Amino acid sequence: MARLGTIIRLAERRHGGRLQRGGDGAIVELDTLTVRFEQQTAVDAVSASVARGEWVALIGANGAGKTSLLRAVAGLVEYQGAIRLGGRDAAPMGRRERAHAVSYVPQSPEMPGDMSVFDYVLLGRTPHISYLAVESAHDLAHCDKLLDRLELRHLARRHLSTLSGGERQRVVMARALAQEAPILLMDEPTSALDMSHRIEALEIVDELRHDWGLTVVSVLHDLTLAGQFADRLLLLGGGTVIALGTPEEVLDEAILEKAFGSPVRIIRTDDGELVIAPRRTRTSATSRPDGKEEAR
Amino acid sequence: MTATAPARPAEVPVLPPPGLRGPGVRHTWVPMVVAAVLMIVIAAVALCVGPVTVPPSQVLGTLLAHVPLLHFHTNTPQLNQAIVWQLRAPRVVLAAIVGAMLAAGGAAYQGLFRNPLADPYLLGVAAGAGLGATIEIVYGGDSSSLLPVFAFVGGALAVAATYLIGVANGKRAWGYSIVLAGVAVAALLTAIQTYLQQRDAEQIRQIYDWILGSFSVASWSDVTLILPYVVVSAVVLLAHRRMLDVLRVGEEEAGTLGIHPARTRLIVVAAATLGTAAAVSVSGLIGFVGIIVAHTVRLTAGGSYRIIVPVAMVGGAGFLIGADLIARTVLSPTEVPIGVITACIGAPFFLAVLVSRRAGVGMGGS
Repeated sequence: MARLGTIIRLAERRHGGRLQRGGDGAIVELDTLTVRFEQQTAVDAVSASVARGEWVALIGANGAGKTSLLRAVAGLVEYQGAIRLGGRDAAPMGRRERAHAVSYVPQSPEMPGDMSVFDYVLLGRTPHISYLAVESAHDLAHCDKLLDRLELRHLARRHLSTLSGGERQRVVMARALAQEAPILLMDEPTSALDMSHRIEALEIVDELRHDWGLTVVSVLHDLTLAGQFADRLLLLGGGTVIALGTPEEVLDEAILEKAFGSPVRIIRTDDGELVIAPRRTRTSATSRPDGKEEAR
Repeated sequence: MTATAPARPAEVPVLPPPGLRGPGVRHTWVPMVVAAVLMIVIAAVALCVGPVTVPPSQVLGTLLAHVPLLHFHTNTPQLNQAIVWQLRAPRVVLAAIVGAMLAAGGAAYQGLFRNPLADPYLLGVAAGAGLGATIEIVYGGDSSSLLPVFAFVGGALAVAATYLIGVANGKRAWGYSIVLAGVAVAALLTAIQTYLQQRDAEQIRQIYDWILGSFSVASWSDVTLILPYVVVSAVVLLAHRRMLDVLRVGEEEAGTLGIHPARTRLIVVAAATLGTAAAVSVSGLIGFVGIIVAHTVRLTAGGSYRIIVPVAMVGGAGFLIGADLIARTVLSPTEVPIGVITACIGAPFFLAVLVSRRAGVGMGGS
């Protein structure tokens, strides 16, 4: 999409001031992070920080750089600039060390059909098991606990190919959580789910975040859900930060219209939640969709 | 969730009901024990049965007499001792080693390439070994002692060429480009091999005998020749059995789990190639073992390579001992090429397993 002329940088204020940012409180720090693919710049000098225990949602139009930013933090793409995880530079970290810090749920995870749910969740223990060893009793117990926590116990011996969409999502999350990494990265974790399963999956993430002190950075396309679940929103456009702040600050009609190039209406419900409704730009049935899938 | 279930306290581990601990790993010993018992029974029958039937007690006595430090003395006649120890035992042991290697190599390749039809010959080891053996037979004169060496070197070089071409073709489409490179290398080497054998028509019979596979001239020296390679290969494959599971989620996700997929794959390919090349160098190109055994284990014991690799080794050993037993007894005194037996026995057996498991899946839901 076209580079936006004005970058609106909103003050990084967190309601209540509960969480500190920068310095000791920040667990993920991006310093002029830039990701280039051959000719194209996917992420352009993004600086931001995520506090410990915070949920930051990455929002923005298709091609805004959300997935690339997430993949850079996960260590999957080359980047310029710096990423610090827990105060340490991520660049020299080995794969295993990074897997101890960060777990990653991709947009469409690879799920071998004939693998059992338990075996799949157990893969998440890989960073804790030395290269040629097999899982210990502790690893098995940990996965057991997770299966119970995510109410997957009854599925433990089922093959992945037999699961429903909602079950698959919970299983993928269980695998990511089995890593015991303090930072959970999720790339549009609920895109394949219907509304109730979507809410349910995000509620589980939110519960676990509070229970275990997880820090969550996720791409969320549904702006209403992003506003309901995330502490702060990072709005990207053309690879740069358009806005970073609380949902109240970022979910603004003018800002969103600039970022998405299409007008929206923001409705406040009786209990104070923000609902983002797209406005039709054409009256015919061919009106343009809201941009649901981000090109990978 | 918050609406339906009360939030649980943070740090209290939820203990599973008794009997449900470790659902993914329970009963892993069952397929292993079944495979081991089958292998031992088949091996025992193979030692007893032949043109001369040796009673089990004499077989046991002969074997015990050869256990070092035991100083066991047997009353078995010298002839029967020689039949068991010099003719049948090396044959059984060699068939077991080759079967174990081909089955484990097949399982590893299927995991690495995420392709159910991958067999240990996928990257050209068979074509390379065939060419090596043909060169030795055509140009090597009367002595055939170098035949395994030529076959081994040919197989290993072919896979090395495939790997280098496949990797040079780009990292991202690893599985795809390397399999295509394997097809091309195998086609080229097979063409050269066919040309060589056509030029020397009188040796066609000898070459075909080798290609179809046989243990008819198996000896203890064959066993000691390939044992070092096979042991190294088996240890590496067994040690990587959990890694094969990790690799199944693909390059990228495996990377986020803290491993180096490319490095791990190279190690597994090298180990599988070493073992397969060593095996075929003494047995010839026995087909079908690499696919059928691994899949039978997968269908009966589950989809995790933590179980498939070790059970396939034992199962492959038993399968090939049995196939060799049939090959030398069914049309005795003539021997049927063992490759014919593995396909004739293997294909219907495999189909039966497939059909019964499909039916079970439909009924049981898992």
